[in-house]
Amino acid sequence: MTALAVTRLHLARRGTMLVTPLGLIAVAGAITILISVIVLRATGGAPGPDYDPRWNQAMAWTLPGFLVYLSVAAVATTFPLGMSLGSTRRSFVAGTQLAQLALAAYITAVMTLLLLAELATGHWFAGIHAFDVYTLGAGNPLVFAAIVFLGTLTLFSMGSLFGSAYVRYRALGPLCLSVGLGLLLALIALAIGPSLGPLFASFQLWWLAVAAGIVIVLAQAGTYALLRRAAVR
Amino acid sequence: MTIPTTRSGAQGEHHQDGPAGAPGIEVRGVSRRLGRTLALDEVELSFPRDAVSGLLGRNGAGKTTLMSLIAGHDRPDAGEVRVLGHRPFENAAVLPRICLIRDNQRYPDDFRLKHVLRVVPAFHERWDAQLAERIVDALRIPSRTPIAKFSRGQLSSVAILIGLAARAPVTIFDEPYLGLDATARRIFYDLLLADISEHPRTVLVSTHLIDEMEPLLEHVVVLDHGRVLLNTNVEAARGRALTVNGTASAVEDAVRGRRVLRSQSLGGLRSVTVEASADDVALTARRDVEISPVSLQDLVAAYGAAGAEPEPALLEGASR
Repeated sequence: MTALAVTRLHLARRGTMLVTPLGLIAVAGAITILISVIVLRATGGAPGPDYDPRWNQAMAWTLPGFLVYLSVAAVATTFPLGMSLGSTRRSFVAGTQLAQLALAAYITAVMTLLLLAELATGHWFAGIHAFDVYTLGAGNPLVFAAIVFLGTLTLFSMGSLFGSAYVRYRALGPLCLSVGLGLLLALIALAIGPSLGPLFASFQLWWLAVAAGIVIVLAQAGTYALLRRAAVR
Repeated sequence: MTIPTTRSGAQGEHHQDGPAGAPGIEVRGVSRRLGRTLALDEVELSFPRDAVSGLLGRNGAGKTTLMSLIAGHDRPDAGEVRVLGHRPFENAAVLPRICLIRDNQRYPDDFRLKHVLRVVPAFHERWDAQLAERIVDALRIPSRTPIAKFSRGQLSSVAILIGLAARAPVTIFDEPYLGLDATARRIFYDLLLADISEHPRTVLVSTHLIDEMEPLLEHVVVLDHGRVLLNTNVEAARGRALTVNGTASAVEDAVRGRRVLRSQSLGGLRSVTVEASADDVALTARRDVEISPVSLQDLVAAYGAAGAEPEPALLEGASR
């Protein structure tokens, strides 16, 4: 089954795929601890009512850059090797999606375990909020897992889309894709502009999950559409 | 040395790959334009099954484009490619049986030898781990350095490793000798010869080192400007041209009316390579000129030079 072989091709570099995310999480955690300790020392252990450690976004922003790099590289550099080894484009896309699902599940599992540990230890015995933060579900493990899993898959899918645009049309591909997506977002903002206030007022978190699902499906379909006729150079 | 065309074990493995005796690779009226360049122009040729074929020609002749089409890396604008009886592009029935590692092959960042050895067997069920180990040792492929930091010769070694150990029924080598020292090239030729004798398969090699690889080749195709100049077995290719040496006037008289592939002058002496066979008595019986056979390398060089001319060159009146 060539799709599974492609999945193995992606996951072969265990250090990059499995260890690097842990390293990035550890670095973000260390910086969070350091800043928290500085704040606590600077305020004599009583930071005041304006200080809310749940607004810490370090963990939310530590992985996206790496995840997008991984998925762009997965297409831009791994696609030619996959083709050289006898994969079809369809199998390559399917194998890549499987690898991305596996990685998203791995990252979600690791981060959710760390959230549970943070909650169980009373925020690391010192009121330090690295995972129990507003942007990642405010301490709800189910919401947290859903945000991390769908967020990771969304980033992977967008990275794959840009990587495949590069494979198909070289530098012009990602450039045109960026401009096109920017225009699309601008048009959507213009169209729903008058309703933005009421929309924000009635905002539900599951809307984001649906939006992420739509983006993932469209980006993956776009990736296949771009690679389906792409020549290997 | 010519490898036997029929080898034990070659029969019976390809019953699902078209009729017995069918070519391993068929290219029918294929054209491919890359930007403003017509890389292949109505190419019509075939490569025999379970034989080593050489794809020869000058840089830009269309060799890599042709190999890309055969490996399903690209599609022709017109015409049809068939590999083991199947169209290769997006065809799961045949693509897993083709292996083409390009001369500029890209590998994932941080990819190392151990990743190659771990991953390639998942794609090629005939992968021979012991052979791979021997190749790694013989070609001294570094295990710790990322492939992205390999020298040109080390990259070629990885391509040779994958191409040989995968034992794909259709194996394509794209200038596999680039950057290799003489010893490593010799090792590659010996390994290739030994392995295809044991495990016959259709091998296609693009090369400029024709003299070195000639003993391995059974069939040759010469491309120039995207067109096929020669498509024949090696023996026939060798007997396709002769070099005529002598005084300018005698040589001019001897080769009159024949297609001149290459012509050189030194003072009053002239050396002309023409399309002619050894049984061309009108030419070989002449006593006023010296006739010598042309090596495959010289023949390809001569075709390359002749192909640079706008019209097929006849010596009559020519003074190159």
